[in-house]
Amino acid sequence: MPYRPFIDPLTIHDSWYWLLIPMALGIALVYKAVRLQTLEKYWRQVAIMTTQIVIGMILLGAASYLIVVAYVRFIAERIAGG
Amino acid sequence: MPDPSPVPLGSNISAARPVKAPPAPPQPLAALLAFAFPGAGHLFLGYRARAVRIAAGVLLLFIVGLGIGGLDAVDRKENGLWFWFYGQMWTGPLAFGVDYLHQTEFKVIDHRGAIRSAAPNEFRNPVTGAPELIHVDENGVPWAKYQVPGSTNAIVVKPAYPPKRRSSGRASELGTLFIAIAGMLNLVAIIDAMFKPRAAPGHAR
Repeated sequence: MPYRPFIDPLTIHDSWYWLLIPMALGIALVYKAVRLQTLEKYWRQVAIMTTQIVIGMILLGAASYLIVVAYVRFIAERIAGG
Repeated sequence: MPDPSPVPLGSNISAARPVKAPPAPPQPLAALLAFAFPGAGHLFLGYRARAVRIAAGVLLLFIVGLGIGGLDAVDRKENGLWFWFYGQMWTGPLAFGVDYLHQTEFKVIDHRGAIRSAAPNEFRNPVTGAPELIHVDENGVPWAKYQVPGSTNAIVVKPAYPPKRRSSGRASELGTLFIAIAGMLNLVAIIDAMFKPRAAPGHAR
């Protein structure tokens, strides 16, 4: 079946995490347009906020990974050891 | 003009609180316009550059979300994530229009009168909306036939496909999420337009 844009979903199961960048950019575009007193440094602020969101999400992902891989395993081993 | 908040006798003048500017009167028309189209409220108030940026951000998220998840990303009734529509609906007629199109043109009406997504082997009768079974010919080409009410002739469609493909997994999650974020950000813009003073002439930012 041919792909029909905006009707059928994309096949993104292997590369979905790249979509964090346009998501962060969209959020920063609107948020900074509403919140900044003046728009003189708008694009710079948008770039900073986009980077902050992306780095923040990467750190949250890393923290979640560490909790599951290290801490939960540590707890499980302690419980299993009695 | 006399000071509206005179400093009481015996108090320290330097400790007197500064007089605050009165809050701007609410702008319900600006809020309504912001709901009708992203950025329109700020444009009405004279903030052209902000309006363009708000519209660009909200539309970027909406269009990318629809591109990722397809029409299933906006579904007020069926996809098990209908409550996301309460976030998405703040993009205004965009969300309601896509949902209306989805419900009326891309779903089938089964024999009980229920509106549902077509199965992968179902074609949508373009006249009645009823599901028609898709067959595959000897060359592997899918085909379907349907009848127009009041006519005895069947119309054959070849190739025939379901009206849309169901979205699942990451595509469904992210498409729905992108459009919900677009809606929530537009809600922020609606509230901002509601309580923002009109731009001073010559400062149309």
